[in-house]
Amino acid sequence: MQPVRTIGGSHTRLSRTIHGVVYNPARDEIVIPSTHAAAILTFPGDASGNQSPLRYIQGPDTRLSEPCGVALDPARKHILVANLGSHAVTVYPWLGRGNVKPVQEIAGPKTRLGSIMGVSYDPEHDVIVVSGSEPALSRARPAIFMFRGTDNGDVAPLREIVGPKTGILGDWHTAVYKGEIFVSVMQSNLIPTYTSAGLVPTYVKYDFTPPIPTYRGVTPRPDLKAVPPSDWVAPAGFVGVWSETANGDVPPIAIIKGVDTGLSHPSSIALNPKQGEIYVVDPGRGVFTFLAPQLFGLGE
Amino acid sequence: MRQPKGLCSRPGLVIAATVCAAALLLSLGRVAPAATGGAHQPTASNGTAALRRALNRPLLGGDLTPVRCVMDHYPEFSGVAVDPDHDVVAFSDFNLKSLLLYRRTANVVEDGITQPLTQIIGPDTRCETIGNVAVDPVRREVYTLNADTGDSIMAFPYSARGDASPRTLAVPHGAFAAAINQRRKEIAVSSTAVDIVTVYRLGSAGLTHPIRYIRGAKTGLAVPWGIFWDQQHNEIGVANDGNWWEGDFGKHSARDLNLVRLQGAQNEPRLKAEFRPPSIRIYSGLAQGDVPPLRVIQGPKTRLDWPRSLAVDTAHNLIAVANLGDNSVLIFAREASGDVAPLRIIHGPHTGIRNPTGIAIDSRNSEIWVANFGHQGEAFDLNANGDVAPKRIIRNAPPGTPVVGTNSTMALGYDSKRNQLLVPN
Repeated sequence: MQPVRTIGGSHTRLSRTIHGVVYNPARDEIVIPSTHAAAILTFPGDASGNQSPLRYIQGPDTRLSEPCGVALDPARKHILVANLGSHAVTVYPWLGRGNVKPVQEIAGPKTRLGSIMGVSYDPEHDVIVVSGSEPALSRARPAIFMFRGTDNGDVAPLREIVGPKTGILGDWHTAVYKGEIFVSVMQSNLIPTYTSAGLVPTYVKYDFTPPIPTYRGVTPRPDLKAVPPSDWVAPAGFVGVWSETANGDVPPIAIIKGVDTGLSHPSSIALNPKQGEIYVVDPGRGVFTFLAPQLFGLGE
Repeated sequence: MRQPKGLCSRPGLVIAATVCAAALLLSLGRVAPAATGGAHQPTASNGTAALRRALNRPLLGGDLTPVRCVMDHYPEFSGVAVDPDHDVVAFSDFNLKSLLLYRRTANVVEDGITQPLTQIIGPDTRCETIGNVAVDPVRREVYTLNADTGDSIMAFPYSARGDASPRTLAVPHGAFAAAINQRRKEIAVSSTAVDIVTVYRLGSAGLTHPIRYIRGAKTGLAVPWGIFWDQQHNEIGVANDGNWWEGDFGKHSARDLNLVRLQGAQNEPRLKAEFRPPSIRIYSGLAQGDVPPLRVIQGPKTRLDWPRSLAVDTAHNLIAVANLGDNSVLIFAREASGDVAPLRIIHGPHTGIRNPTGIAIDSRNSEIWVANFGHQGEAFDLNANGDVAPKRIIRNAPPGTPVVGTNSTMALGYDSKRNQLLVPN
């Protein structure tokens, strides 16, 4: 099928690389980062064609640096941004425009934030969830970080999901619903390695299978342990669900993974709790809808 | 698509629908109950009834079948290059990650699909998020580039078929297009992610340092997409979106740092950024480092709007631009400079031009080739102007097949008011 509408063209100020998008139902607006121009663009919810944004945040005072994931805090009316370039989460008013300073900036060695990509927010528990990795000189450890909604400066995360039992080799985006974190675990199709002489474009194949969780008494198919065939070189990615109270090296409590899912390396995720649907995008394949009402407490 | 160390190309957004991958489009698709097709033949999901059925079975976790999926089973053209010496026209396919070579004079057949001479496709090709395409008539090779993951340019012989292994050269992140100078035996590569043009010896492979590069504030490069190399005047032309940042080649681009031996890389945030008008920038073919362009085509009269690819014709002194933003092809004088209007514009419903991302000129046969992002490539008379029909059409899917374009998508949102998915490409 074709898209219902398309937003594109020079007037939109979009260009290469959009690593985040979020819809603001309170204002009927779409918020999108422009990574290569270090900006946050806001469009009307019904935007179409070569339309200019309603407003945008950009400038040195913003502290934006390769902004990727975006999320909304509806109570405080804030936009939260994961900055890949500065390893920081910055926060702005919804109506901020121009060279506006962030009202919060979570950054520094105590945060353990490295190359971060995604951010989401749980309004019920006032928790900011950040996906990406810890900083490292060689290979960074992929992790899910949790911070208080009011955190600011160089603060340690409340909790951090990290380690081999998580099954995460590379996580991109998260979505949160009622204390549970849904993660698009993309893994990777290409793991670059480096030497002092320069790039060594080595394709690394991991011999690694994430643990298979049992969730609410339901055990997945036993053959899930088999890594499905993939046209990419890394192990297949998956959608994993963790409790927001999880901390450390813990496996997911639910997982969507396997040949029948059609997923290879899911990059992003969105939720429709009312319909019990999980939307997942796989950059090499397409957009998939999974019906999993139990994950939203429907029918209990 | 690689780990969070890098950036990916082509923004867009879909709603159980699709988008145009190569061109940073945001598309919105309706989350309709009807399935939209896909490899897994998803079961129908129809609101309450489907929800009730789902609740009656234990499906938490595991190998779930999607109830809907949006994908395209056909190639989606991205770039085009033509070799009149061997009667070949080549298209890159962003969707299935393949290269398709056709006879230059081919046209659609009755079932609406043009039969290619060959399709290069498969995991051994190392084609991932491929961008544009180039041809080397001397070596009878076709090139394509991994525009996001992979960070490489791949060369195949014209005779390659199926899952062929390429000669691979590592290039900076975001390499989108390449241009060959046969006189100098060099190839120039534009990299959108790090605002750089790198030049290598033709035939280079593996880890080879570029022999020259163009990069820095004076160059004005700002998301450089298409590139040409005018051999006769030894000039390199580059199409720019205009989204500019102060790149530092630190952090995620350690590989690029090593490749071009830039100095002063730091781990400081990129704080300087701005929106600039789109432009065509012409440099000396021998430019090295942070040098200004010889000429710049930029301004409202130019009608440049997401210029994605460009080609030069020294026989007729023309530059042709695939103007993605307004579905047109712009023709400028080769020596045009400043805020100048195009000499001609190919645009309108009869042209069939829709999301043009690739362009090539065949001077010998006086033709302009256009790759529309999707299912159709077209050849126009070199003197075409206005709303004119193409001379020939090459299609990779039956007529009427929608262009999904959800590839290289790295974000997803849900519009709860309209029940639509927001899918950036």
